[in-house]
Amino acid sequence: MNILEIHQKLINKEISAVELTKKYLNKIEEEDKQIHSFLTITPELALRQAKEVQERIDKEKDVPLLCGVPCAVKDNILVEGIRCTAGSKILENYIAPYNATVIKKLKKLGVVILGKTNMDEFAMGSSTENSAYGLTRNPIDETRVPGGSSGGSAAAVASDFCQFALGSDTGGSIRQPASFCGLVGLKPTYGAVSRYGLIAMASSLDQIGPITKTVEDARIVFEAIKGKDPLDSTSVEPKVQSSKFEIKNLKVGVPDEYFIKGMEKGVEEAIEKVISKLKQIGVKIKKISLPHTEYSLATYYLIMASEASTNLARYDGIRYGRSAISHSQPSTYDPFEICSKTRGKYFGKEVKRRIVLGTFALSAGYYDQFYLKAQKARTLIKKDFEQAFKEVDLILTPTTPTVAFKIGEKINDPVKMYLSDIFTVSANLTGLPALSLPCGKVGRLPVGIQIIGRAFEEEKIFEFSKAFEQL
Amino acid sequence: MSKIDHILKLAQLEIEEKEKKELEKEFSSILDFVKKLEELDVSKIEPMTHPENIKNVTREDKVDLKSKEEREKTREKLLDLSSQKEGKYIKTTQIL
Repeated sequence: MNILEIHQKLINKEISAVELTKKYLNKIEEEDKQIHSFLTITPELALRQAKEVQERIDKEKDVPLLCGVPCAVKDNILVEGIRCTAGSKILENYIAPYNATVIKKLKKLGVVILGKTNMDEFAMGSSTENSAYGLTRNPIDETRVPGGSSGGSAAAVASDFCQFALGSDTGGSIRQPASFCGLVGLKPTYGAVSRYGLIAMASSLDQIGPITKTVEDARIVFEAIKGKDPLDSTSVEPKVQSSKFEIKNLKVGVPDEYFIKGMEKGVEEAIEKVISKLKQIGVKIKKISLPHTEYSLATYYLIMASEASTNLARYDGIRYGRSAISHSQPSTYDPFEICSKTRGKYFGKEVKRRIVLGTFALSAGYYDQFYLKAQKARTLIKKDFEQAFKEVDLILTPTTPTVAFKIGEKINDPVKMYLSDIFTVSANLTGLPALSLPCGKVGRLPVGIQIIGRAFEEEKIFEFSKAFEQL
Repeated sequence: MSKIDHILKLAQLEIEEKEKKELEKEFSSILDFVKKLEELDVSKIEPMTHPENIKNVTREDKVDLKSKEEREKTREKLLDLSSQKEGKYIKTTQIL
């Protein structure tokens, strides 16, 4: 089923919003013990919303497409009154005091929120194994990871626990799990969607986006959540773009640098098959070069870790979140000790690794050599893409170098895990929109292809991807 | 003070010796990985902080909530999230 079909069923009264919501809640109740895609299920909120939605459907003539459509939300996006952990023990008792802007927008349209999904702690990871609340399994093969960090969101959509889910993407955290679970995932242009109410990891890279079953669903959700928000000063109102173009007039670039050694054979074959099919329907494929690709991952890790180490400075064991010190008795600790003990106790390993890297890269004596250098390398990477987009309209790459890997395979080797993001980080460094969609399989494991567009040209990506789905 | 101790102090992370040893080893392999950038000549390149050119956005300096009750409700909600409160304040131990 897609969003449009659910909409038709609801307005034709084939099913009520409450029945639909109950159906999904029951399925989660019965089947999620095995997958563990949810950290918090919100039946009360969902059923209350569903009742309100049904009244709207009964009364109003034109209800929005998303009215009554059940969704899941990554647990780093705030839903008022609902616990929000970001996959971390440090926020185990944190109840969101307000709605993220994306949630406010979805609620207004009548979207029903079923719960909050599992994720790598503070969105740091590529497998959801870094969650402090236990791992999530890939519904296609339960011995494998669903990808990450939005692994719970992807697993929930792939398991039919919801119609769509929201994720966040700092270096591939929407696209990589979408690819691993055979779904569509969009990282919008930086600034297209408000980050207000998203628990920050790396503020110049983070974007919220949809994980869906179809390209059209991704478009519907993106249209619903995008737009300028006075509460996020980096958000912008995109210019309306005309989407009228012929697929066969499009020039699509394939970067040489993205077909690397170490890439899984089956992934490479699936991508090449798709490229030859595209040629058959008249799409002009052009080889392009993004010469600084080999530096993108190091650049990304320095910038992300630096921004994350400053963003996570807010967890001090005093203002909110858990505290290592019992406050019922007078304490001899000073606030700095409370802070250090709390962070040492409640942050997980990967979070500590990144805080250490970021703190180091920003520290006196190392700033120029690491952080500033990474910012300059970022400029070079952006220039590569600007150059490429003078010649082509879209860029095609694999989303990931491998299909979903085994649980436990990479968790003890941080650098090996970081390599999972090698094809996705550039879109975050440059701010460009990028979508992953299924393009083949290795055995029964899905392969994803990534389509990168010019800034704010999501519409072109959607149109092209839809033609793609028909191939 | 060793390098890792210095960083842990700056980052306000208090961890046990065993965890510190592990972290030190991992940090060194991550550092080797990001040192890849040493190959690049960026002497004439401007650094970038954001994907788009961003500018300061300012608004009038006034509280943006409708009523006094609403303001107080919000304050209560935020105070309730703290580890300890007293009246309208978050309470913590003495600094000086």
